[in-house]
Amino acid sequence: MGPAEENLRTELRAWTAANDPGPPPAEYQARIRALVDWQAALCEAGFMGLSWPVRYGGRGMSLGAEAVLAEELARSGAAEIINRLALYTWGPTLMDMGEPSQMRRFLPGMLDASELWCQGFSEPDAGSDLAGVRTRAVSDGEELVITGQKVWTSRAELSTWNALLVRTDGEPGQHRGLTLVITPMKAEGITIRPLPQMLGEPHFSEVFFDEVRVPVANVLGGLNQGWRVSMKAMGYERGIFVLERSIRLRRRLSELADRAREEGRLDRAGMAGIGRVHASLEMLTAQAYRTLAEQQAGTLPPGATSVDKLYLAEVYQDLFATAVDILGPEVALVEDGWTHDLLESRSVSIYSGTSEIQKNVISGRLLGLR
Amino acid sequence: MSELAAAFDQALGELLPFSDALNRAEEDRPVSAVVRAEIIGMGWNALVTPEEVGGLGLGVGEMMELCAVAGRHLLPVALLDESLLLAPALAGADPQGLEEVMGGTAAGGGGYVAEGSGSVDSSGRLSVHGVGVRVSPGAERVALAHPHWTAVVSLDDPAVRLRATRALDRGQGVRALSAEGVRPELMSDGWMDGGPVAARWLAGLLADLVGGAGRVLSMSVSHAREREQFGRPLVRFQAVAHRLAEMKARLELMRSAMARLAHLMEKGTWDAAFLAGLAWSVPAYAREVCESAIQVHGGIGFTWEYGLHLYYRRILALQSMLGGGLDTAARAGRAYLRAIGSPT
Repeated sequence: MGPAEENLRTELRAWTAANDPGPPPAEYQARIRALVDWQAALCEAGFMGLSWPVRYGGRGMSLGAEAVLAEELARSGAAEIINRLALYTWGPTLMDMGEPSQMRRFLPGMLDASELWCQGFSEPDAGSDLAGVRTRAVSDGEELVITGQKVWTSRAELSTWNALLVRTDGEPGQHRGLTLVITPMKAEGITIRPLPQMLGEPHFSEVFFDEVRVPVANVLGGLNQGWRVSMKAMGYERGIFVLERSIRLRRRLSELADRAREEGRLDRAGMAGIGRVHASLEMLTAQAYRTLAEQQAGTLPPGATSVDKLYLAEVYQDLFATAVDILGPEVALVEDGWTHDLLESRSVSIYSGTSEIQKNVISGRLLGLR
Repeated sequence: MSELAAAFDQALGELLPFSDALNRAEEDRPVSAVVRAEIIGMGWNALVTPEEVGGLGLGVGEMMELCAVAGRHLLPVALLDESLLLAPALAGADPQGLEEVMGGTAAGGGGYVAEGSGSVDSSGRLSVHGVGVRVSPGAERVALAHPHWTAVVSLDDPAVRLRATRALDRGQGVRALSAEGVRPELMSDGWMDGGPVAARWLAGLLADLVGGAGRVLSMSVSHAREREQFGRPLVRFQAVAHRLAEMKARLELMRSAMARLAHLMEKGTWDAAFLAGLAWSVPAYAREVCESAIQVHGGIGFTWEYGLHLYYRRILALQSMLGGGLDTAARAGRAYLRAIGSPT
């Protein structure tokens, strides 16, 4: 980190100390409102889009500045950034591949969370295999007419925009013929059906499209370029995300260590569990720093972030499995933060590319085994 | 790879052919005096010793890169001990001893003393019981690294006994060292208390393991590309490709962590909890990589002549000397609790 980043850290510490609203409410709707307000406040204070160019409303700093933001928010236990998908994935992809008019239209609402984003990739027959996308879009003059179904769409009901992957040509099974179209979630013909996950929380939904009309002007990166656009977007996703997660997991580890010590549960095996997770989290953080540095330098090999994602899932699951082991039989009596997070940890090796897909990428791209 | 590391890689490739390493292990004998002199002649024993006392004063990152090359070529571990632990421990305290070690006229060695295997009494006398050390032939003194102290002990001291063993990692000059109430020639801080010499040596040993892990992964990838079964190369079987991917992921994680350690050490901001974490994870992950390498090779990987066991023995020996999988993890846990201010 250079002097600019360290100055930012000082600035952020002072600002968060004075403005941290505390933990968000537990009730889902109130929580979402609080998270939107929190991001708006961060934006107002100039902390959103740190690495975005100044002409798009950012501060033109390095990715290191985003790392400092992630570190400081995670360290203080502040709430997460609700529109992170827009800020770190679709914003940068738009700046890279979008038209000037699209940037003017879509970028500002990403920063202040006035327009939340979701992402429509997965379908009943296209999970890890995106080439299986069947949701069709047919051209009708200046519009695309979309019909089909998406699943596992996080925060669908809250979002203004959906980065939607549709098929404009070719057959399911082909990478060609996919198109990324920025679809308004309030459009006529969209039905959202919440799909509670194993925790009982409605984090994601099924989304049905019945002849939904979207202007062709909302296509990102050109018709039939959806595969290329999606791969580009996925590359943007991981660096900051993994760093932010690793710091949040470190907070959880310190809570575990404190409680285990207070309850006298740190025998040799318990201490070894704490040490193992600590070491793994340090490795995960080191990996995230390296990814960010290589992203910034433009030297990140294609597929390299699959190591980050694969290991995040492993460490995430190990932390909460270790916690439940150390904390003993009382765990069965209460569904508290530890058991909640253990259940939740199972999603980490599935979302955003399963661990098996990451291994395919590592063997294919990093080792060149095709 | 830097120019320096590439030159070192080439030189070790010529000086330490793999077939020779196998023979040395089989006969449990050290490298020849000629080869040892050649390696020391390249400046090996002066690597990290400061320039003002005649060393090369390499930075931590450069040192780690060379140690990774050393690991690829199975450089005798006693030479890492002489160069990274004994010589810098002597620097500033024993100019003549330092010169002899750097010049290779006096041989030495070193070893790790796990918690519980050694102690220092209030008058500064040291006792250790059956601690594994690696010594070059004719060694005069050894450096011992305990988490809380680093000591140089003369092997001429009558209270010091070396016992030959049929060691796991043969050809390394492994001996069991016992000493009762010996007064060390020199004492300094242990790595868990911020002692820079022992910390850098530990970092070098870990980098050596990463180098070895990289070597066995490339051997595995080559083998799986070439070897055909059921009419196709092994890499076409997803089970094999995934195993190789897991090895690659482990290797990259180790490299990232070592790069971070080098960065922190060069800034002088490393802490014991971070290093204690790596002292668990790097041997554990290198071991996983090596075990997978043996598996991916199938029967040939289990033969003596193929030699994967040389890497495996080196990793297992070092992991055990550092305390073993469970104790190194528990030590990382204690260091972590101290770092977050949670008293144990």
